[in-house]
Amino acid sequence: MSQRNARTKSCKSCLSSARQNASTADPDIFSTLPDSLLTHILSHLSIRESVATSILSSRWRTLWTLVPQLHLIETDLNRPNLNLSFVDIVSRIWTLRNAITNPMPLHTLSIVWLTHCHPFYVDTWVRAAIPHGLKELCLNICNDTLLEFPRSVFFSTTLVALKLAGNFSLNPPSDARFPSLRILHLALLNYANSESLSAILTACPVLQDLCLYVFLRKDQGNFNIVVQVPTLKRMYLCCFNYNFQSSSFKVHINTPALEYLIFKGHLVEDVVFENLSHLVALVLQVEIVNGVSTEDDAKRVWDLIRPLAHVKSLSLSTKTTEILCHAFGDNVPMFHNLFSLKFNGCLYFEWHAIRFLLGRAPKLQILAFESCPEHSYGQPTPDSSWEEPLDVPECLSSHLTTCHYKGFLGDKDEMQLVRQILKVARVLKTLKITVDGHLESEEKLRVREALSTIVQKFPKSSQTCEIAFDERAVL
Amino acid sequence: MKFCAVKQYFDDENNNNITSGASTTMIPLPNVESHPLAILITYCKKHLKIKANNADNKKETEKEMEQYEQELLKKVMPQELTELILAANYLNFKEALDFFCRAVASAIQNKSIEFVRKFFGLESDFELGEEEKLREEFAWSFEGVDED
Repeated sequence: MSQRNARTKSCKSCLSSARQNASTADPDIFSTLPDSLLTHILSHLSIRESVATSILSSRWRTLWTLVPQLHLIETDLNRPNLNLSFVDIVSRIWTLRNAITNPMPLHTLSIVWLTHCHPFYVDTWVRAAIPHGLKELCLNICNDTLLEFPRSVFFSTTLVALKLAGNFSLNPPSDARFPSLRILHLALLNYANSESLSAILTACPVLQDLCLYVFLRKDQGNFNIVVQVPTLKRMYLCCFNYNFQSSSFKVHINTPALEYLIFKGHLVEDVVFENLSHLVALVLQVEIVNGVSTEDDAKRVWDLIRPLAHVKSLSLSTKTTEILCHAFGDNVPMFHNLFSLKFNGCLYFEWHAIRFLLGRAPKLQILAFESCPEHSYGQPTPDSSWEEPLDVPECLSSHLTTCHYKGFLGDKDEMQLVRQILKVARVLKTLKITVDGHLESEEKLRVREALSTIVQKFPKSSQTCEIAFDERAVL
Repeated sequence: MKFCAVKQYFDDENNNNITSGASTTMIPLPNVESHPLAILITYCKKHLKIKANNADNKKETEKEMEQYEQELLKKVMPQELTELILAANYLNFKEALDFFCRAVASAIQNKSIEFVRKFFGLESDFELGEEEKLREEFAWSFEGVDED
């Protein structure tokens, strides 16, 4: 929803010049559009604006009720100055929608209620929508009192996407069935017991996309995250355990059809990924619970990665790379299919680590760096480690076609990195440098000077290399 | 799949065992003018090109599409949007239909009733007093309006 609003907003600024011509438009032009297309237009407005169109003319009076989506955002829909609460306004909307002769059944219901949430009403609205063919249900609530999920939801034959974030109690009945569910996102604080998660996954015979944020409470004890879903193609798993003194978790993933895996979490004793022979892309952000990593930790992470060395795309956070550094021995696999390698996070440069990994990826074509705003973390790299290495990773000179650096600030380490790559990458086609939108003017000046040095002074071994950057960001 | 209506035509042709080469098949599109069709074809080609350039990276594809869409909107008149919407709908081209509907939605977002009426070429056909009653009933939805 927020994504859609962002795109609608960006359309807005461009129509400004065309807007002046609105008054000279042929008066009946939009009347030729049928109701279905007008409601398609209305579906891109917030519910508040959509309801406001009821006043345009008698044709538009109930057009908004035909939009099969409801996005109820509490911050948009309360009017304390008119003495109307979120619940008042939603009741009004709901009643009016159902007051027409053949009410349009809802396909999508999404509720965002982060302050003073009364779960009773959320329960009411969900129960009202579920029996009429609801396809997508998204709840993002911040409730103090636990909300027991309505039982009728667990038997919905039409639900395609279910996204829940909040203080829900998930307790699926043993005969729960979601025959159409393809997308499941759970960011829950409460599972009734450690079997609830497995129970809900077993109930989804066609699940393709799973996103789990696991929060461990202080006295949760052991929590098992077992994902054995034969149809699953994309998985995002985030489990950081800050209550490690009293709670722990285990992860067991066995998903033969999986293509994309994103794992962010604390590295614990029991993390098993198996049967992932179709994996195409892996994103790893692993951290050590106590902060300081050892060779044993590094070996455990390599044990995790080794069976997945057939992936085409790999993305590592800098902390993960730092852990891996402790065990750069011969047991490190070759990534024969690796096409794209990306490093993200607070990039303090371990050029030798990057070089080592590049040496294990003989066919690499795309190398990307994404720096986070708190840029200067860690020690600046000593000059000696940038010195010309005797062994240039083979992929750099024979295969690398694209290099992308996001969050460029023009500092010493970044310049050295760019210099090295340009010097060695003989088949490089594009070096794309992206700058953060909100730089101070001194920073902008430094970036401008750095960019001009790169373009004019750095030697380039590739004849066809194009250096791309957005000039407007540094003016 | 873009241009689903056209694909359907090809599928039907194949079912009838017509063996003429694809390059010479003429497909009748009686409900689409050439101008909006040209814009839709360009949009489609650009979308496919951007998708190919960015391989698996969904975020980058979306960003580039947004930039392209912004450029495109600068050249399109609001009244052309109706033709584009009808054409995209007839051709069953979902992405273009979404895009042009979004464009119309953004044009009327946060605008006053009078502006929106002018934009759509509408006259108020309410009886005396009915409009006042509606304004009162939906007062909560009329806040946060831009200056025209």
